[in-house]
Amino acid sequence: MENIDVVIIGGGPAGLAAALAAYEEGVSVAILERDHELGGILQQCIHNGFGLRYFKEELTGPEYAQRFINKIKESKIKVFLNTMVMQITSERVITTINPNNGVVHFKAKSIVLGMGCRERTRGAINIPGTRPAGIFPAGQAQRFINIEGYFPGKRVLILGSGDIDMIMARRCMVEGIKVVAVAEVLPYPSGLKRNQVQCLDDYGIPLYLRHTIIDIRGKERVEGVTIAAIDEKWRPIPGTEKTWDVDTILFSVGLIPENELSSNAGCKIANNGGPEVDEFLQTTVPGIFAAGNVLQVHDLVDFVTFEATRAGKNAAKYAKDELPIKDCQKSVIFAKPGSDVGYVVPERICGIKNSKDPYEIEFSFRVKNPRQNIIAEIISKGKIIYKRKQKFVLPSEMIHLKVKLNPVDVGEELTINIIEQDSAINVIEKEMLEGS
Amino acid sequence: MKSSNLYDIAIIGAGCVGSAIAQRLSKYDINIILIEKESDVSMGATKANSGIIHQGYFTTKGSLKEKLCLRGNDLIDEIGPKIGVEYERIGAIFCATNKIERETLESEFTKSQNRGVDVEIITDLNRIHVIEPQLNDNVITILHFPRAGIIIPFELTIALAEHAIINGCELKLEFEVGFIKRDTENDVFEIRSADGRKIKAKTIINAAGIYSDKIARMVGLEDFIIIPRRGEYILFDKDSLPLKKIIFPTPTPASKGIVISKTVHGNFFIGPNATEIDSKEGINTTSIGLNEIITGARKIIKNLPFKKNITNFAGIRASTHQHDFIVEESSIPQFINVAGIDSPGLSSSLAIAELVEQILKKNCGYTFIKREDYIPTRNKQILLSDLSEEELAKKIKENPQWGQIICRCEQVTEAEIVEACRGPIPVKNTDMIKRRLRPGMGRCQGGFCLPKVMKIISREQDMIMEQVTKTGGDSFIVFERTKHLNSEVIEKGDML
Repeated sequence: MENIDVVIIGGGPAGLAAALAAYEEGVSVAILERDHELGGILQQCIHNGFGLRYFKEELTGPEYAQRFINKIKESKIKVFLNTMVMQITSERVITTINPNNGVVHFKAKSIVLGMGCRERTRGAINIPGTRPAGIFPAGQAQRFINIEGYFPGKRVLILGSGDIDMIMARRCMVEGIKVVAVAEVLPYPSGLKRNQVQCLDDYGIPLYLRHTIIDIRGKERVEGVTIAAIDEKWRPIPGTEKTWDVDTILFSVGLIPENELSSNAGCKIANNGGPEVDEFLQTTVPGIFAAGNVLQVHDLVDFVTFEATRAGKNAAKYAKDELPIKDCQKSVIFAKPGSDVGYVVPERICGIKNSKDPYEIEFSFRVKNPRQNIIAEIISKGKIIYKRKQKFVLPSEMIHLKVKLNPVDVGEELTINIIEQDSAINVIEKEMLEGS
Repeated sequence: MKSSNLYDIAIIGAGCVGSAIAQRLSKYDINIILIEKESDVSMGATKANSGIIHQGYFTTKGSLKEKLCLRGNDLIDEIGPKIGVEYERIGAIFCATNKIERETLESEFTKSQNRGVDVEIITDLNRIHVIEPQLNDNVITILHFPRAGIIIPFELTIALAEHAIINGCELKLEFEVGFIKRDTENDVFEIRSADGRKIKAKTIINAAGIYSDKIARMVGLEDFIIIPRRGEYILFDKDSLPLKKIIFPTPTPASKGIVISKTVHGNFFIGPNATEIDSKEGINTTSIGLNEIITGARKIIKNLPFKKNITNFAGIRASTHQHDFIVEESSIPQFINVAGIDSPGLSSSLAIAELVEQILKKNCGYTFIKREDYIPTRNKQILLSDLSEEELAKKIKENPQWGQIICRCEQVTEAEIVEACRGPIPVKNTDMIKRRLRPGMGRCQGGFCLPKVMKIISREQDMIMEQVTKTGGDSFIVFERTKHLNSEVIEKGDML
């Protein structure tokens, strides 16, 4: 059994930032990483656009990761590669296996979960058709091209317009793979605007909004695909079918936080798929913290770094017994998603009730619909206790609210709402989204 | 004998039935060959199947289905443990939600008692919900068959085929029968593949499932046709619904209805519907079909955890107009048809093999002598989940590949995949690994592990990565290399 103050599960962007932040607090830190190198999914994201917020410059994924990896190398942080965590107990005993050392146990004073997320599968959205080779989650295709050095196909249709889909559309074109179209079920692109412009428009790739795949052909390898427009009840509209001969379909229909270990450790999992946390990013199991995509799927890695820095610092303080509220179960108030808000992190706030001064909390959440001229408001005890105007909000972009709340204003729970100043919500769009 | 490609018995089709026949006959001192057109065993109706060991319910009195299903249900206890296949008798329930359905169940209750099977009819609502808490409140009566069970159809079939191979049966994969010639002078059949390979056999057992009518026609038999009936399924993640029983609605004359059942590995599924289709290869799922099974399942159970579904798939039943199994020597001597094996075919497969053995003795002149070197058991491959921590630590010391997890969702190590590659049926594609060890079958459906599994196959079978397929044939996963890199075979000892 190896005793370590703070153990970080996962050596991706969240784990790297959490490890460095914890280390700066003067505690012993170890990173457990299942792959043969640090950096996580950033290593296959060879496009640029990372780091604008954190480093104030534009980096590629591997460059962004390397800045942290270099600092880790200079530190005394222990790094265990090829190490798979099999189990975490609520007493923070971690069981790992590793080809060189076999079964190794760690006992941690605190833990930061940084396992990231995985791609939703084709089955999760019930695309009909046959099941030949040539249907890839976008992230897997990215790995084949950028890491393994293989063409996963020559003619591609992409389902989904998230950031990874659009980035892969451009990547394919640059590599000489023809992208015939991108289809998206929503009435708007689900990724960042800059990616739509730089990855689709600039390469002349057509984007079909409110379209879905209605058939995939091919027994051994994909031979063709048909998409169709959908009506407000998500039914294909006859006569709108478009068919292409393609050998490959890439799809990305969302990311799911990877929380099997957290769940087995006893962490309560919230509706968004991540563990429920308090304002210290501590899960419902004392001493276990979470940050990055394992907690909530982020839009920008920079925000993962910010969040994980907080989690790492708090985990170190917990290990040193310096965290102001160690027991997260007592005098908790709950933060709830209200009108047009998908989820809220943190879901619980445990320090505000005993605070005498205005209490600072950092909320992050996503809206359900793209909207203009909105107000983000926090309501408690039937009163608005905070509000902020915003020109645009999009489901693809996380919203961060750093607020100072007066303890006397806050009841047993608080709700975050998005309300519009002028027009009512587009009812049809709302139903469509809820139907998804 | 084998050098001249002459076999005593050629079994066409390596589904659960063909493999069960091969396994049964492999204990005798005869030359058997099992012929399969696909790249693995269990690729037809067996592959996408409900995986239920039925208990003879809702079969016609006096039919082969009734007799062989009941016998097959018993035989699994005899054969399953010997060949290392897991199954669980969790029991099946049929649910009635109205008076007419209740009457159907009552009449089946009497029929089942007359068959002498364990059965219970339950009308006490509290008890019904204790037996299966997931049922809807409108269920008023259930018929409970405690000896019904669950099994993974391809695991059974792989185990049967491997046990046959260990005992000398030859397996010929990717051999699509194109032509059968009867050499009446020498009393042998000549079986030719589409690409010109030849096999000679004294006896043919036609267990070609969906293609059994096509095979029969090759020797001039036209007494049955197979009507492909597609069934679609939706599979859900492990532990997403704590089901205790296999749940059926009250059957109609057309179908047993949408089943809701857990699997041996803790997933659960809903399905199948039943759609007659024209194509024998129509294993696509459809929006209409998927909606049909969702609607069907919702009638019986309360909560369908939709966020937890991980895949959907379809299979084809090899039905006939006769509505019963055909297991008989045909009008052509030494040509035995085993056809029309739709539900309860999987449950009956071991009993069908027994019946085929009897036919061979009675009608075809075989006097079977047990082989002296018969190996009575097949050991199940040792899996990570079978090992204690101490055992695992020891294994990693001996072979570091035990410490390298390849599939995160199902926790499969490199050592297990390597062993499967070297098994009695050499593994040459990623779906074969998936059926044997489950990487790619979990909640990420291969999102992370596919490139790694490909590399292990490349290394073990000395193939370049571009040759590794998903499921044989032309189902290539990657094309050429980018940047004009050279093709590579993953070297022994290479880090994955």
